[in-house]
Amino acid sequence: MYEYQRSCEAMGTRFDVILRGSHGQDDEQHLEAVAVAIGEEVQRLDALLSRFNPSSEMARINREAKTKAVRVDRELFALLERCEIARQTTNGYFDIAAATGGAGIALDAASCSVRFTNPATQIDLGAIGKGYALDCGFEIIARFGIEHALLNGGTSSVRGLGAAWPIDLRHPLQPERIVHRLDLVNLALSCSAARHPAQTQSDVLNPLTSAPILSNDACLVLAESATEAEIYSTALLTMGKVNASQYLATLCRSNLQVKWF
Amino acid sequence: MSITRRTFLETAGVTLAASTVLRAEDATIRVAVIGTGGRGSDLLRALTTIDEVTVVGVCDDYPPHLEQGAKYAGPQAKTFSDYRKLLDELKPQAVVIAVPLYLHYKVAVDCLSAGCDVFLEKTMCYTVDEARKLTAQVLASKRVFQVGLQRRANAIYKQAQAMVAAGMIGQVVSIKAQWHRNNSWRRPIPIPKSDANWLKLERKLNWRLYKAYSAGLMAELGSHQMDVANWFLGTHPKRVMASGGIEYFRDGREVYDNISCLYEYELKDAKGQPYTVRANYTSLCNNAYEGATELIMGTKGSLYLTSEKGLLFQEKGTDVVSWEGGKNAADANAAVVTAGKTLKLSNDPWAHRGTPFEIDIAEGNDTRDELVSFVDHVRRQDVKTICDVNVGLTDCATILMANQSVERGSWINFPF
Ligand SMILES: NC(=O)c1ccc[n+]([C@@H]2O[C@H](COP(=O)([O-])OP(=O)(O)OC[C@H]3O[C@@H](n4cnc5c(N)ncnc54)[C@H](O)[C@@H]3O)[C@@H](O)[C@H]2O)c1
Repeated sequence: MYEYQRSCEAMGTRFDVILRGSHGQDDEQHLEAVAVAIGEEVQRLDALLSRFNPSSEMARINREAKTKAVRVDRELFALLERCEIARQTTNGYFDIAAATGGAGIALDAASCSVRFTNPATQIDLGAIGKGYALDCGFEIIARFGIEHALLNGGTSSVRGLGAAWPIDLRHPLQPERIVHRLDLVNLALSCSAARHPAQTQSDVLNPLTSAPILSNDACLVLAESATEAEIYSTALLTMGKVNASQYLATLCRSNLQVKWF
Repeated sequence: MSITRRTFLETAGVTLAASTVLRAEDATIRVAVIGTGGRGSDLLRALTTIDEVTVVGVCDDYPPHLEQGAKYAGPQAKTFSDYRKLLDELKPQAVVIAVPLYLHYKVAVDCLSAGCDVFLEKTMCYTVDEARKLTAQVLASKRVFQVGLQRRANAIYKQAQAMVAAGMIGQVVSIKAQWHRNNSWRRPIPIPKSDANWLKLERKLNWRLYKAYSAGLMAELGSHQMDVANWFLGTHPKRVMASGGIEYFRDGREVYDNISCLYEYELKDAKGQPYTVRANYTSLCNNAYEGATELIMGTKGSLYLTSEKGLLFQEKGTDVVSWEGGKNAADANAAVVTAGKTLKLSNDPWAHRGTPFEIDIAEGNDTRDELVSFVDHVRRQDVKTICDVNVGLTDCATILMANQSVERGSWINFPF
């Protein structure tokens, strides 16, 4: 069996693709072509979603949606809808407009358009983009007959397919310390930390106050998709440990696995 | 290294038209997309963000791609596996064509005959003969026609071209352009090699690698960059000498995995004297150093261009000589020297490039903007598109002559 690895830079970080062949599709030529296609997909999404790249669709929305309804493509609209649903189901703690007071985004499905109801609103998909990119990468993996694969987005989001992938988790504030070992089997994980050693305050904002969160926690979530894992690791960290456990108890059929560090 | 950001809009004395703003009250334009593979999907997604456009139909003869196209287009769009049926049934006002190169001519001609305005992906045609015939047909049809060379819609390239025209880099003396990447340039195939249909699907999905459908790296990549050379120099090359081959990816492909070309352009200097500008073009599939870039070299400076960034490096020693201490000298005209001290220059190997000025206009997306411009021309029935059929014809001849040179092993003259 052949294993192929490839990395690419996108979304301000590094993405790694590890593919193992199966079903007669285990030649290097095939695995390389699949890995390149995944890398190109991640870069396409970066060009679509980055708020820093002035030629992205996200930057266009942030520039124009305060003055008019901005028509967006169906893929981006579906992602924004998903974020809005996540905002509602997390009681406002997952919010792509957290930095500008939260909410303030009106979506119109009939015209596939976005309008800001608060002129200050700016969308930041940073908390979900990597997870979404991993999930899109997984669609390519499925289409091209790969049955054993690991995708990693910036070491904070990982999704595995097939037989167990062992994952070690470093402590966010003590990089030397491994705090957790797990076997990732057909699941995605996302780990959100309040801050890193070099930061004095968190860059995770409480959407209800637009202020940085004050804890020193890190929250690990295992879920079926990387997008879902990112939504919940962000939302739960923002809620804080105590509120989060109360909130989780209210979710009736949750497949989430949550750990705190 | 710090980069001084500066906008050259006023300096170059040109105002750039921002991507044309369309008014919402304008009637919608019924557009169909033919070929919803990689590029067709990009164009389709961009079309669905333009207010005046209704995508009425999509067509692809490969079901998984058609399904993807239908998803991006939305429920109002009808799906077809045969584009002639689409043309008959929907009679779209405009079509966007993104099929493999060998089909460009046939599909474009059928669309023109059906009365459509046409956006056709680059390279315009598979042969120069087809490109000439298409040119005649477009001109006779009076339809709006645009070729998908999106650098023509890119704010950085538009600005850089204006800077060259305004003489900001002096006389252009040489051009170096490249598209270097590090991967096999192959698409994955959804069925294993042992499957009886593998080869058929390989040729369908990896059409780029086979000569019956593709003109290789020059058509797929070089066409964008040699168009920049033609555009900036305001003419087509006179002749080319090129060398290429399959040196690394021996996987059954027929097109070169690397090519190096030397183009000659005949120009006249400010005094009317003829001179030659040489443009070096290379494309590689196994080293990505400096990626896809063009370097336009002039007597006063160099422009280093990519789709996302444009940098101007001024030539050292061509501006006013600056003496240490300058303004504080007792006599403004005195050369100031420091006794016993030699001026130390940096030993950074890149120091000769100096601090670049950046073309500071990155808003807008060239793929979307080229379509916004096309739609605007369709709406106004203005045939003067930003990349018209003559640009497409010249570009097509420019890149195909390089392939011909490789095959013949000799200089090839521009064909007309
Ligand atoms: N401007 C750019 O930056 C850019 C980038 C990539 C490709 N392109 C150009 O776009 C064109 C398509 O390239 P691609 O990369 O999308 O290739 P692709 O193979 O991904 O897509 C081509 C599509 O055309 C379909 N097709 C083939 N024959 C057809 C027919 N008779 N009727 C309907 N559909 C048919 C194929 O099934 C496929 O889905 C090429 O000319 C290429 O040079 C331009």
